[in-house]
This record gives sequence, structure tokens and C-alpha cells, in this order.
Amino acid sequence: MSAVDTGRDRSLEALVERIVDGHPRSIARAITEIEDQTARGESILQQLPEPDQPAAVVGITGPPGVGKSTLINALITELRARELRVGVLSVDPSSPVSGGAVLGDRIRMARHASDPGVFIRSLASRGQIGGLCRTIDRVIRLVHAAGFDLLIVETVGTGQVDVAITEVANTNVALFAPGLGDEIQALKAGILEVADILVVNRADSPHTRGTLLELESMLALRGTEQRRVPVLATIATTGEGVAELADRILDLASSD
Amino acid sequence: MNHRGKVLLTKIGLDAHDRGSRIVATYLRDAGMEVIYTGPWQQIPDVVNLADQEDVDVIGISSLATDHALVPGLIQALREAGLGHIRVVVGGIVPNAEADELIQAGVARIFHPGASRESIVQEVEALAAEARTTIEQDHQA
Repeated sequence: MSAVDTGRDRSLEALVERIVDGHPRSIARAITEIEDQTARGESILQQLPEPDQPAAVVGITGPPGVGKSTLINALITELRARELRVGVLSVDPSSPVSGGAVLGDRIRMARHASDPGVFIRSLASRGQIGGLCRTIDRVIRLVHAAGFDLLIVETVGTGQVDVAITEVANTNVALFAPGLGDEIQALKAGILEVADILVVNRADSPHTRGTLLELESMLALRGTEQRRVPVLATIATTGEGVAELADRILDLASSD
Repeated sequence: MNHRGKVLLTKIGLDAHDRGSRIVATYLRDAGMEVIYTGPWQQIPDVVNLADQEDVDVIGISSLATDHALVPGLIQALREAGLGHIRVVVGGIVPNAEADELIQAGVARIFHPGASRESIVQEVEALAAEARTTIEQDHQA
């Protein structure tokens, strides 16, 4: 789409400077270039300065409707109260038929739309399987360069083996809904094995206790050398349990 | 990946009737566009910030009960924010007497009841392409 940048490109350098300064429009434009896999997008990435420290990336994954976006909304509130700047990348599925998409994660995060300490971007999966989009690692690099303290990456509604998030996030949070399936579900391989924090959201349901016990007994069967994985209960709509989740996330993010 | 157009469909004002915008969201999705969908009751400054962060080409405002009267304010806010390249369309109930005012305020197109799926898709796609061209000219400048 864009012309190939040859030699010294003053407009490109200026754009990269604005990205590093955290200018929302410049970040937004650059993400579009990266998503569209243009030559200009490649040039922007090449010109980004080396980060001082690795990005703290928190992955939020779980089945459709479990409350990922709503929980992220509550997490943003909590993290902002702690004066952290937060970048959110929310992936929703592209149509396998038309290639189009309806990206609706932001509906749950509307109250943060005008907070300059929060940058939210919706991304379509564009044919990629595994729960993310093909360019997610590059978009993360870009938003990290813009100086956010924490990046939250929300996957599409996932199934049991959509574990692509573990390749880009250093703290993985897997969400569960109370009362789905029986105790055998907790024995199955997949996302349960790779999550760093398990969260039972919608914990105002009467099935919550059972689901918490199933997850905990599954974890109790693990070898002692494996990292201890906390199981938390949250009610994203009220914010209950979210402060503890933020504590755990920040603990893990600083220990990685 | 070819950029087919990114559209924000939203509602400003107090009217909650968003079924029309949901239908249009599926039309555009089925035509290969990426649609950011928000519920009703959005405020103009939030819509401007959202359009900025999402780098959209077109904003579609759905209006049943007089919300269209707020659209000139939205267009002004977009221009003040330096987002004048974003094309704004309105769909829903707009009295003929007020349609001219909206066009003069900078609305690119009004889709009245009965507008066909084909015309909505084609025109939104063309407006998205126009907006994208403006951005690319910016890059060259």
C-alpha cells in the first residue's frame, strides 16, 4: 500500500519519535501499517529503539462469554489506581467466509476511552488460528516502545488448545466460567497446563465453589517442581477479587 | 492483507435503539470490512478518542430518535482533533428538512429507511478508501 521508504525518511523518523513519546494517533497509525503488513510498517519496526527492559505482557484467555473484556475493564481500573499506564490489545475473530469482523471488546471498556494513561486497540484475527493475529508480536513491540508499564493481550474466545498466547505473554491468565462441564474437564491437557493464574470469573454463580475445587484438585496432582499456580475467584462486573488478581499479575510480571 | 476499510459504528445521545446498527455491522462484516461496534450512549469526546486509537476510516452514527442532531458537534470535534479525514455517515430516521443541514455540516452520506444492503456496503467501502488515501497523502507530505 505505502510506497517503499528509501534512504532517510524524515516523516518516518518523526513518526517513530512520536510513538516513543506515547502519542496515541501515531501508535494507532503504525499498528494499522503493521496489521496490513506494509513496507512502511516494517520500516517503523526497524527504527524503534531497543527497549530498556522486556515488555510485561499479560495474556487473558478463556472461552467466549466468560468475561475476558469485562475483567480487563476492571483490571484497567485497578492498575490505573496504582498509577500504571496500560496498553490493551483485544483480538476478536475475523470471518472465515468474508474476512470481515465485528470487534466488540471495547464495549466493556468504554469508561477508559478518554484516559490518556490507557491505550486500547481492537485487532481482528485475520485468518490466524490459535487465538491471536499473525502480527501480534510486532504490535506488542510497538506498543511497548510507546512506554506503557503493562500490556494486556486479550485472545479471541478460545478452546482447549489455543495456546498461542503463551508465546507472546509472560504472564498467562486463563478464565473459566463456573459450572461448565464435569471434573474430567479439569484433567484434560491444553490451556490448563500453561496458565500462570487460573481465574473463575462470574463467581456470583452457585457453581463457583465446585469449579474452584475441581481446578485446585487438578493442580494438587502436579509435580512439586512445577510453579504453584493460584486459583482466584472474580466477579468482573463488580470488581470483586480484581485487586488480588492485579497483585498476582504484578508479582509475576516483576519476577519474570 | 488488503485493507478493506475499518468502520466505527456507534450511537451518541440518549436513544438506545441500536438494532439498526447491529444489522449494518453484519452487512459490513459480510462485505469483508472490520467493524468496531459500541453500544449506545457514547459521548462525543470518547467517540473521538476511540476513532483515534482504532485508526478508523469511517464513523457510522445510527439514529432513531433525534440523535442525528448531535452529529455536527461530532464532526466539529473530529476536525478539532485533527481527524477531519474520517468520513462520517448517518443511518436511520433523519427528516428531509434536516438532512441538508447535516450534509452542510460535513456528513458524507445519510442512509434513510429502505437503503439497500448493496448501497450501504458500496458507499461505505468507497468512503473508507477515500479516507485511507488522505492518510497516505499525509505520509508523502
